[in-house]
Amino acid sequence: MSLTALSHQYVGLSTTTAVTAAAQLDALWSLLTATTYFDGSTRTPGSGNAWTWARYQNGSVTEAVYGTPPSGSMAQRVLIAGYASAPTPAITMLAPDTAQTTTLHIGISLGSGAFTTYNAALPFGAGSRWSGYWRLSGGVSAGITPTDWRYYETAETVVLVCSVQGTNHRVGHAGAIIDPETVDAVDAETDGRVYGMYVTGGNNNIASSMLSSVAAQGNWYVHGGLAGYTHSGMFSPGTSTFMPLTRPNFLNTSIAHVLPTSTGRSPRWPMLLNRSGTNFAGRLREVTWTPDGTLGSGLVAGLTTVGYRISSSTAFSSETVLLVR
Amino acid sequence: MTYTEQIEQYVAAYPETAQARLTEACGVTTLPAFPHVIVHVWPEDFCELEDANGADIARFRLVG
Repeated sequence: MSLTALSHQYVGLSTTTAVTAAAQLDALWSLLTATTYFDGSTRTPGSGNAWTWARYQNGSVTEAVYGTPPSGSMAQRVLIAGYASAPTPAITMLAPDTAQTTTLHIGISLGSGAFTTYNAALPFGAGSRWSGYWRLSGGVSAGITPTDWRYYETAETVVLVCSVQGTNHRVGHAGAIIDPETVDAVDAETDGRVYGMYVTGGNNNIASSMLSSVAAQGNWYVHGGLAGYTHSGMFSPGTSTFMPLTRPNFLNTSIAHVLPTSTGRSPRWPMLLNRSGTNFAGRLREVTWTPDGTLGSGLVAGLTTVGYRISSSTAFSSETVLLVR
Repeated sequence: MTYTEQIEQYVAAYPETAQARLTEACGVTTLPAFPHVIVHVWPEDFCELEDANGADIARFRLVG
């Protein structure tokens, strides 16, 4: 039996022109602590879909933010960190990514206690399960300036979109992202969920062919074996081992798009994932295949927004996933 | 990728590596591509690279 359906809500967009990790984190912070959603409805941290975020500042410089979901029994946290000079000890990365100065990094923790430091081997204390960090954004030091951040949330997951120079987009997706559709202990945590994350990566932008291609750079839920590539992974249930996720490609080259119905409606195909290339992992929760669209646009039915599109461009239509509202 | 390949990628990224502390659970005890790197196995569940002065260069967890 499937888990309770999640409902994505769009918080909004925040812009920074400063070329520091702190400026990026501060731009994110304004979204993470917003008191209203984009549609004007009230956002109360700790209730509904609203995560509660805290930040760590070194002096007055923001170096990390971490979020707690409004519900759940696994003591989940999502941690995002970045800095101008590398801390000692080094932050604990997740293979194959290496840390980059001024890039933001993202990781997930289960069984979390109190926050210690973002560069601790276990940022949420002894006994917690820490993924390590993957790169969430591109390196400012490489001359790439993140300009816009978008933030979407459900009661158990978060989606962050970094728009580089207004045109190139990188996505992070983290939390209880997968419904394994089974409660077998090797396939599901004790709460019936699978926790993990996806990053488009430090080197890549979301590709216009992100669904019809499963190459390891820029595509949706693929896993590349080099630092900066696109990565997808999940906690092996009950353990601290992180396993790669891959997406079977159901689109062939002659029908490289999800097609609308004859009346123009947008189907929402469930998105299924495998783990380590050898076993079924589950269904990505309320993130579906859908016909081509533009990033940032909402899918509406009458006067109701029923989802938010993630794709390669805000200007032209390309292969799209839908964050179901 | 194998654990050895993942670890050797990190060593390649940090050429000043002189010692590698590798998590016991991964079962890797040698780095064939980097015979000059001294390998220690430890009970932590992450790996750590150190330079010749013993300074921490990089920490990482393995995928797989």
